[in-house]
Amino acid sequence: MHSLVDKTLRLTLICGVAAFLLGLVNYKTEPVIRERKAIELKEALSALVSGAEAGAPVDVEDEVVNLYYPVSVADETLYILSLTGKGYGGDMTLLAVYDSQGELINAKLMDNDETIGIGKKAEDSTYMDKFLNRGVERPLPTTKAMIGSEFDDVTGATITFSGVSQALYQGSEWIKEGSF
Amino acid sequence: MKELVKGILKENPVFVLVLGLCPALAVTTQVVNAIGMGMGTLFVLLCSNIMISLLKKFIPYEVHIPAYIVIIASFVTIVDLTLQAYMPDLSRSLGVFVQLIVVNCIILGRAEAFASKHGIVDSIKDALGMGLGFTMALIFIALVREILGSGTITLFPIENLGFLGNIKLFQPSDAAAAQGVVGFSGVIKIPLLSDAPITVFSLPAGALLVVGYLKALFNKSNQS
Repeated sequence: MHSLVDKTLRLTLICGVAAFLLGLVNYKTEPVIRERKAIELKEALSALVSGAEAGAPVDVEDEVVNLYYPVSVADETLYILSLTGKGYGGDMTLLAVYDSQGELINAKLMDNDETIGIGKKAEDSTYMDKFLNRGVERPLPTTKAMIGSEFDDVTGATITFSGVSQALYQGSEWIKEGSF
Repeated sequence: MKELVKGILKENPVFVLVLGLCPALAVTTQVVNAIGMGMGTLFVLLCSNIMISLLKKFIPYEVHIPAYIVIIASFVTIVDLTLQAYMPDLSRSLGVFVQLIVVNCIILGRAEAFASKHGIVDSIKDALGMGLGFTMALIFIALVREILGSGTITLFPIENLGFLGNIKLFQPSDAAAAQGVVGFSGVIKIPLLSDAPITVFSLPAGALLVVGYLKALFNKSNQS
């Protein structure tokens, strides 16, 4: 009994010291990480709709659409949607710009844990080209067959492609339903 | 000296002990990832070896594995948070593989087989040797894979890098070019290969091929 208590106390002490140390590191790094993410989000929003500023975010209760930012450009209102897609490494966050009809104007993959060299290619600026200007007259591609053979960056990364394409498709449908 | 050198050559973790193959295959698409992963693993290995060597009499045998995992996971979390805060690009590139250092066989293996049985000085030498050996192996694999698979060598970008006489050394990075300053974008393009890379080397199958051939070369050189 005495031996069991001794072992438990020793392991508890190790865990306590580790927790204290991690708390200190988190205290120092958490504000830096939060600030960096806010800057990244701001840069991504202004890069997606150049020359216009995104409005305040509006929360949405939907499985795929998390929130949206209305953007006024000339006489038109565009919508930047924050979407969640299911990737190979878990949930992926995308920012996608749609017009009021649901046509995709621009998109960018944000937080993700996709495989380096394979699914991570979805972060490349040219990856989203295959989806742009689609959603109204031409449907958003949701299978590899719909994009043809000109885009080889989806090779070996079917789950990432499906996650991205399904999220963009659902975003377009959400706009068409007039859910905002 | 023997403890330090053995991890680099005779007991190289990747090519001889065949440990840590998961990150060795996954992150070696770019040289910069290999350097980052190697340095992260070296830091965790060094810190965990030191702590486990110091605490070897304090940690009861029956709970030594959970205790080692707590120590290793703590150092891995420190590396992860530090990379996220101060080297976000590298953190994004390495993705989930930073957290996976916790279950890297090299770390737990050296804690169990070496640090728990030896003094602190030998444990430091062992960690440095194994860590450098692992880093070196990752860099070798990444060099072959990136040169053949992408026709590039990706390193850390450097701002404000000048000319050598009138010769422009590197392509300026975007940020440096915008400010009119010559810098290094971090990417060295290999003529011919960058236009027509052998894509299979960037894919998992290419990683296995490269590791296999490098292991054979390493074994041959160790025998001679």
